[in-house]
Amino acid sequence: MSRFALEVALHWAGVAAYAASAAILGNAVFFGHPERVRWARLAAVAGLAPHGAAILVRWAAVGHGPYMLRYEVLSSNAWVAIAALAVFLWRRPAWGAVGLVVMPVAILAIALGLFSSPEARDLPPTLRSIWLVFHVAFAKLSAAAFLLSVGTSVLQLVDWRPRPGGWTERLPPRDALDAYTVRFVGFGFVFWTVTVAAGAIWANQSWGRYWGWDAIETWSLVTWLAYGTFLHARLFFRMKPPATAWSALAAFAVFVLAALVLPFAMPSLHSAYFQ
Amino acid sequence: MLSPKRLLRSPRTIVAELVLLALAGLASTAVTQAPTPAERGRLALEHPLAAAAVRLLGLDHVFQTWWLLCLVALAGASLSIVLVEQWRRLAREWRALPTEASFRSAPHRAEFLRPARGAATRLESRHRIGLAGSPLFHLGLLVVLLAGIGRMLFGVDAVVHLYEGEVLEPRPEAFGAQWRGLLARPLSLGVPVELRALLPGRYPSGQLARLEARVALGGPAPREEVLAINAPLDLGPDRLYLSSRHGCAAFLEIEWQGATEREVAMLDEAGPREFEASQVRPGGLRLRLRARAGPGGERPAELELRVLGGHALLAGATLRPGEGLELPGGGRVVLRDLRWWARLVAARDLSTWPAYAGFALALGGAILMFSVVKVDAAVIVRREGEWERVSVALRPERFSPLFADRFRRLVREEGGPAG
Ligand code: HEM
Repeated sequence: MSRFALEVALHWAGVAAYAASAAILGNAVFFGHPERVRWARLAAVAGLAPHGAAILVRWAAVGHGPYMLRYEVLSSNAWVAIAALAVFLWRRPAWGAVGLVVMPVAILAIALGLFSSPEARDLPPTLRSIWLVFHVAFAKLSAAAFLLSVGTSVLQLVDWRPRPGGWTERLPPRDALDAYTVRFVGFGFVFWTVTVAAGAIWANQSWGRYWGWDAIETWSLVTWLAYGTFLHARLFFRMKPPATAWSALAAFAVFVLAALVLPFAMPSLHSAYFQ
Repeated sequence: MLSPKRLLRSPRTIVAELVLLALAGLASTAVTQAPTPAERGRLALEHPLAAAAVRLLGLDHVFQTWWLLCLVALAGASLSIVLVEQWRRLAREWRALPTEASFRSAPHRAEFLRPARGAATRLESRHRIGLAGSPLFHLGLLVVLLAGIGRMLFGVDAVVHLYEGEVLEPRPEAFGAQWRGLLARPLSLGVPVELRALLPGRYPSGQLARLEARVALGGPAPREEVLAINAPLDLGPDRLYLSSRHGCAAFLEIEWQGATEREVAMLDEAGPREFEASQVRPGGLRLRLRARAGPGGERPAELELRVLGGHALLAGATLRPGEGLELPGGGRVVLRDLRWWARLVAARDLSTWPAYAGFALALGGAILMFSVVKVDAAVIVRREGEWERVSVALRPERFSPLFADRFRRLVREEGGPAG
């Protein structure tokens, strides 16, 4: 088996476990079996093993971490998001419904990654820096936290008219969903702050300036401002669901553009390695 | 009418400032900045309305517009007003101890009777440090903003292309170009810097794997240092960086119409290990120069020289140092040497450390804001004969619904009803 075939096989093994996890979550939430969330969590953890192995196999073969190609970025971001979901469900087993949003999005990200070019690239010397490690690691953590906030936001938008015995009755209370949305956005905001600051320090080390208004730099700032605006607006105008949920989703759209779409599409100093 | 202070502090103004700053950022990436006249002309032709908006608002040089400057100044003013308020409030709230009255509006409250235990009323405040999150975060922002202004006023960046053996003299004019802050002095390094050797390394694919430069600093008794990508050299207040842009320098001697000119042609990287340059000579001749680095990135050993008249190839040869090529119509080009050249960047920016301090403050503040929540708890006990009436209350500063479990635990611990 070629190395790439092995990577793909390990990815699909991971995806199979994640799909099983999503199915169990669906069963737990829609049919009222909260105790089964634990099984869903174990299935997710079982998927993290082959998926993580796929990432490590590639890492060893290409000699750099998962941050240069769309394939590497999407796959590793999905891994971190699912790991974060597993930790969250371990701490809050009653919140399985969040996984119903996070898991499909993560599976979609892996699939998109697998269908983009896997051609390995050599690491340019500018990327050899300890700040890159912080920059990339925290960007992935931000993606995970923001994705969890998408999970809680989407649940806030679900049709909430009381239907006795309906599955929506089993969703976490709306005010708690709202509080978790802000909490996840808050964690993502902290991680994104580290991402931007580490990027700035690294830019200073390799290019001689900590900020240069490069397109991708600017978009990372815009994302940060978008989430900052969301947090202000919520606090200042006592925004309530569903307005908070829609605003959090809008800020996430800016994040996806900035972190996952534009680096691959815009001419920028960053384009040399995001391909 | 609102006073300027209240206007700057109003929630609408603050949110508007943030949205406009984000939009300015977006505009800078959506519209080509510093366009060439041709690009400007094309936009005017293809999208006349957009071109008019770009002209009116200066969207093709967003970071030099007066409106962005005003916006940043407004945001700075709002931030300063808010900061004074936030630190005052922090000092007040830090000292304030919880009272029974302060729990009247607590989001989690329960009252129950239990057999008397003789316990006293307990009021406590935990994780007060969480209150410092927002003030620290915004202070960090202000410090970063001030550092940015410092950079705009006093920062200098300079670039120079040096070939091996060339010395960068300690004079401002020695640099190819400088970008100076409004009040900055021109940058000149304190010592002469000679580029002694450039040492590139390549992957088997031909891509650049590493780049190092050996430089000699100082005059008569120079000190040798190594400069590399991501490893700049500190030279007093200035820093010298090696960028990844480098190429091959061809030392040429051109005999033409009885005169001999010496010049160094700088070949730029045109592909992995490939370097190219093109020169137009008097008389319309064009010289095309190409060189190829060795498989591990070694310095090119020979130069491919082609002489073109219009599109026609008039002469061509592959030259090693010391060899020459006759030019059509008389004259000759001799290759004297092949060396590396590198692009060095020098920067003086005293705002760097303040900016980093601002990052650290903002980060510390953000961590406190979202992960440390001040929680006041009260267990108020009133004796009623053999019984005690117990009021349990929990008042988290934020994320109140997420404290429901903790509250239930507290009620249970105090002997209240479960669930
Ligand atoms: C124009 C400058 C700014 C002003 C005047 C300002 C003002 C404020 C004020 C008054 C608060 C309420 C805090 C409290 O009640 O103690 C706040 C909260 C906050 N601000 Fe700002 N701010 C500014 C810029 C920013 C920026 C650029 C960001 C990041 C993008 C930001 C992020 C936050 C966050 C995360 C909170 C906390 C929100 C929450 O508690 O949920 N601020 N700001």
